[in-house]
Amino acid sequence: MFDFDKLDKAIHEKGRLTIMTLLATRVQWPFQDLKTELGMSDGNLITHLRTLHKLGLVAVTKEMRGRPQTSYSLTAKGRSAFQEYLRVLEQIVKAGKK
Amino acid sequence: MDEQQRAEEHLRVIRNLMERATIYRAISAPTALVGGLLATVVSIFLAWGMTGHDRILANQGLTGRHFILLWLMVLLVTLCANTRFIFRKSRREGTPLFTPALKLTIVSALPTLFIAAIFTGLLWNYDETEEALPLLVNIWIICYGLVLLATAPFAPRSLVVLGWITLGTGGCILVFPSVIFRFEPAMRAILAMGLVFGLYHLAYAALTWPAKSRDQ
Repeated sequence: MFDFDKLDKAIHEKGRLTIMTLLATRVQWPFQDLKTELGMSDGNLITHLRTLHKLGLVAVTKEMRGRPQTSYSLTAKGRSAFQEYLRVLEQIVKAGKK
Repeated sequence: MDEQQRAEEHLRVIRNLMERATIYRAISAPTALVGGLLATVVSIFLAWGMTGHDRILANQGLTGRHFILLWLMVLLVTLCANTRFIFRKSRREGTPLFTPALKLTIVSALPTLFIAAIFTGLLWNYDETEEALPLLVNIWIICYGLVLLATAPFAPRSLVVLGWITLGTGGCILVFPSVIFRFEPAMRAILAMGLVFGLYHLAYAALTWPAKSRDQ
């Protein structure tokens, strides 16, 4: 029987999973681009990003590019947590097929 | 939904999102078809004007400015068609017109387009004889190949292959010009434009169209 507690619950939530996935594709994502790509509301996206930031999975960068711009990226801890999460998901799928 | 189904669903979401965020087809098959057809028709028309029994263009002399204007019009029509296709796709999928991937494509292409624009402007201002046309066309071909390759990190493989073939053709024409050197300068330029922007794009449209249908 597979131990489902191995799954990182912070990433397992679908909204946060999509954020982590996008952050894994590039070095940095501006907030506006994340919002455009995911089609989430500002409030929803900010809440998920704050949760991930508090857990140390996501880093926040604030810059002035004519106007203030906030960008997000995966921390080293976030990247390895995401890779571990993927590995566990694959194990669950494989275990179910046996 | 049990945990295994949920895991499969999550893996599907991850794969789709990663593909959407990392792969962007800057030139769709319909755009390639429109651009390829236009370039082929214009090349045939120009070649006919140079060699037909009246030799209208050859007798009047095809100036650099006429040549540039004509091909800029082809580019403009193709860009309008591309914008229309992107607009229709965004409406169909309910996504914004100006996606991060489109923005990234434009930013990646701009430096090389800037170089092509500078050379075109120089020829427009200082040398409008038809002798300069083959060199200008070569610069356009090489720059276009470089633009396609600049999008390689997030472009589908077919577009990268088109980029390398275009760049290779530009390099070959530059290094081994004798293959098409027996023609007049204007004719050389017309043939090169017809080959790269006409035939290559028609072939690209034909080869990528079935893949697009399969994806849908």
